[in-house]
Amino acid sequence: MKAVMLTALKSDVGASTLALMLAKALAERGNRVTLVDMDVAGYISSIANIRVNGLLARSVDDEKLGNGYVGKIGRIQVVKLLGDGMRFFDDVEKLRRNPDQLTKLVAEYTAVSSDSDYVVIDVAPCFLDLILKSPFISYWLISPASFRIYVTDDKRPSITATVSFIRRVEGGFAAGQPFVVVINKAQNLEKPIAKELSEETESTNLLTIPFTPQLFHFSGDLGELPVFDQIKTLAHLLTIPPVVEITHYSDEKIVPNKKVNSALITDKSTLLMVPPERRDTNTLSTLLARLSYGREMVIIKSPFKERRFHINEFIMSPRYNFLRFKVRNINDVYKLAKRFGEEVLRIVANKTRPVVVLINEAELGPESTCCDVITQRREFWKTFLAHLSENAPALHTILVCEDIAGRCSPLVDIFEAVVKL
Amino acid sequence: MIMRIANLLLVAAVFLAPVPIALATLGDARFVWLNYGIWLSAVVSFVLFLDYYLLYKRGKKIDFPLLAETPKGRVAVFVPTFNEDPQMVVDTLRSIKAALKDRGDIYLLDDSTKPEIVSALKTSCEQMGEKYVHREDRRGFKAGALNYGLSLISDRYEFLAIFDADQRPLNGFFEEAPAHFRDPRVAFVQLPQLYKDTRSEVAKAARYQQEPFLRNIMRGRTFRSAFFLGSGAVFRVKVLKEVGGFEENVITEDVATSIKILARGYTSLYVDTPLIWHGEAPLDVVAYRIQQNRWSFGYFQSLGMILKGKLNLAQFFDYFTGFLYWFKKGALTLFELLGPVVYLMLGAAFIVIDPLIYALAYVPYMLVSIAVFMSTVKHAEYGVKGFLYHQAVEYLAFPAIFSAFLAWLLQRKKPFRVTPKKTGKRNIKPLLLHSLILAILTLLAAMGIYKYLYFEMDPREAGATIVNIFWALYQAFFIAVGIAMALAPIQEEEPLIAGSQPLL
Repeated sequence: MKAVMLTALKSDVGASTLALMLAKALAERGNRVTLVDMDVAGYISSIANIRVNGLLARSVDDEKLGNGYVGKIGRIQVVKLLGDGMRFFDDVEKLRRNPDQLTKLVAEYTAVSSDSDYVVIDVAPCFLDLILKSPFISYWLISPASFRIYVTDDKRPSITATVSFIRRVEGGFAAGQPFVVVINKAQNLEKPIAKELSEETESTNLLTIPFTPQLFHFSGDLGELPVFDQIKTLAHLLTIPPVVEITHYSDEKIVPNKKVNSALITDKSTLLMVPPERRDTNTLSTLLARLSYGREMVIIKSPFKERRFHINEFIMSPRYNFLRFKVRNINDVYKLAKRFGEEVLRIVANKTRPVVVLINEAELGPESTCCDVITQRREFWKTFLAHLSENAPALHTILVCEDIAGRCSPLVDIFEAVVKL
Repeated sequence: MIMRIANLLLVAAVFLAPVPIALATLGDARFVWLNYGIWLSAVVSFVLFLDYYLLYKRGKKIDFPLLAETPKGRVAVFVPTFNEDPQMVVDTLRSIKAALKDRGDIYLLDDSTKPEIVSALKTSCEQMGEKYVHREDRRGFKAGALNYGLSLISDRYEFLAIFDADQRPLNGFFEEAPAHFRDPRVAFVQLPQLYKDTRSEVAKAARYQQEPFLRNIMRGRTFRSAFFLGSGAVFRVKVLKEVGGFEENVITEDVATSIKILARGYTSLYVDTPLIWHGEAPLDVVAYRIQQNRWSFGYFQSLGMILKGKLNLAQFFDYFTGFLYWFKKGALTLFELLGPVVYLMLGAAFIVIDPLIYALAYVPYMLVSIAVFMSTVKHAEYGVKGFLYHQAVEYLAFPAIFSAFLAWLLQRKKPFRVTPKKTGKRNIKPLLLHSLILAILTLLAAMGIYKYLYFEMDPREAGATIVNIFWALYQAFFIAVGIAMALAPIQEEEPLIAGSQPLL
């Protein structure tokens, strides 16, 4: 059995779709394939029509395991391992404290997947840090996953984050290493980045897949899913023993060292999680500078917190605070988001390659009783970003979010980068 | 020069417009002054309404950017006081300090004459580390105190904020106001004050009265003729020093100082964000009249500056209508009250006009203007109750405004009287005049109705009687509401924090 892990540092780059495509390509070559859903969103499980809790949740709940968490997409066997949303964090923690449950889980997992030729694992981007730290997940990552695929889109922050992650965790790029970087949905890939990246990866570790809008209409029927040539090549490479048969990894390389623990990269492109003792302005400035990749930062903050960055600092008028509390319906949410977007466009108009840093979400997003709390904020920020990208496509946005009562989680997939305080 | 001529033509137009109407409707020659006065009142009402509506339309279009660069200039905060409750003053200082953070310093400009208040405030300032400034003479009253403070501060401060002893800025005030000074022509930014204390009906009415002014008039005056309201504003120190500080020769320095600044080509802003609270509205009719008397007297005193100052026509129009407002609420109200009295009591036809034409012209005008007005205050906290209270409270203020008008005409000096705070009294004495007017109007209206019903009249006489009965009852109604408001019970003040220690 060979295991292949697909992951991304950013959601929405198409990792799950590529996992499904790769599984199909492998199956078409006559292999028995198991696709493991390790994404909390449970995209693949939902396509496989698995309606029950995943294996992790069931083991933690001490439920009778049954075989409801196993489904099929065409000839591919699908195992729902995660996919039950945010309880994942609690589950992992419980599992850590209860080694018996872990043993039971591993045994169960091994039993369902052992007679496959290939196990393709779709790992949620937002949990890379946990995956790297947790014995539960490193079981899959370190021992059986013999090949790793890092999926990114063609945006610079996402590529740069991927590259730096690989340098840290894989120890750099070298021909023959058991991983590839896939630049998915490439449409306006800036040439310098591609060049840089292909030099960096010595080309052998790099695949580029052009943007294919037809994929948006994918119905979930495996027959309809096209398999890109690049994925076919990858499947072919995987079946050639010498390339993939890497047997040994040192633990040090996989598990990040303590130095980077304070700012772990997770989520959509980059989610920095800053521990409480390092939430001072200086640390935040440094982190933000790192996230801005040398571009000009434009800081937009609320007037109520004393945080001074001494660079391009703009404050939201206290009047805005009245507006965001006065939102009456979802239409007002859209209007306010557009207005905010316009204001941001106005101040970045004469800046070259700016990065907009929003500090912080709890003081900038809508805060009314008009509509569902999560919906209004998600809609607000989506509209805001859409307005920006419509008018200034090159503009990058970083959200700083104080993670009170899980406020930030619904927003991490919208932004290119989120710094969680 | 051309500007000045245009301005003066406007004044002439207002006062001359009633003349042809008066000539056309001349009746009893003894009452030609009343004829003119009534028509002047109608013209002035129309001008006031026109300016109000134009400002409303203009104000709707005005908006400010939501994002601004963090203002960097330091702020000096002046709190002028005179024999006010030290606890209230100290609470204000605390709240200013909290909002100001490290962006500037607070100066308490204390003109108090009571030794116990002086020592209490001095000690408190020392404890809090705020600057305490005391003057022995009260030369120039509040404006004098502000100018004295201005002479003490150096050029370290870019901005000067002014708060009354009962005003508390909210967190954000010192971020909002200075952010609007990016345009070098901006000399000051005024923010509205929320009345916290509306424990009495008079206080509620005073608050309602402020709504159309703050939500529409001042908004529309932004970038044109917005004026300093005496407190709750931030000035550019450089401009204040350039114009020689606050105007001391009038009882309220606000309008006069604004004109002085605008005449130099600067502009002023009113930013309608409620970032000041806790101000107390006058609680009883006496306090309310003291306030209205001071405001109107100050405005009358500023007329010379309005006429002489280099204001453009739009600015002049706004300031002149300000004068007309006080003129109408004082002197012209007297004409309006006298009208029905003269006709119903003496039978003197001081205006001769076909009642049908009058009704056909006036009733639609009145209905339309009320409807338009109500539509302009839809976004404000107003409504029918607001309209009722607003009208009624203006009748309550009428004697105070009229006496201010007379004092101004006779060139009398008046001392600055602080609006009494905290305590209110229900007293019939200040309402005697109103009770008398109410009695007369009601009686005359009743007599008029009796006459109309039981005596033979020609149609014109009948029409005239109906018109006068209407006006008598219209005014009697609002006066009655005013009296009822003034006599309504006043709620006890509830402390925000129970068990807080008084300072004295």
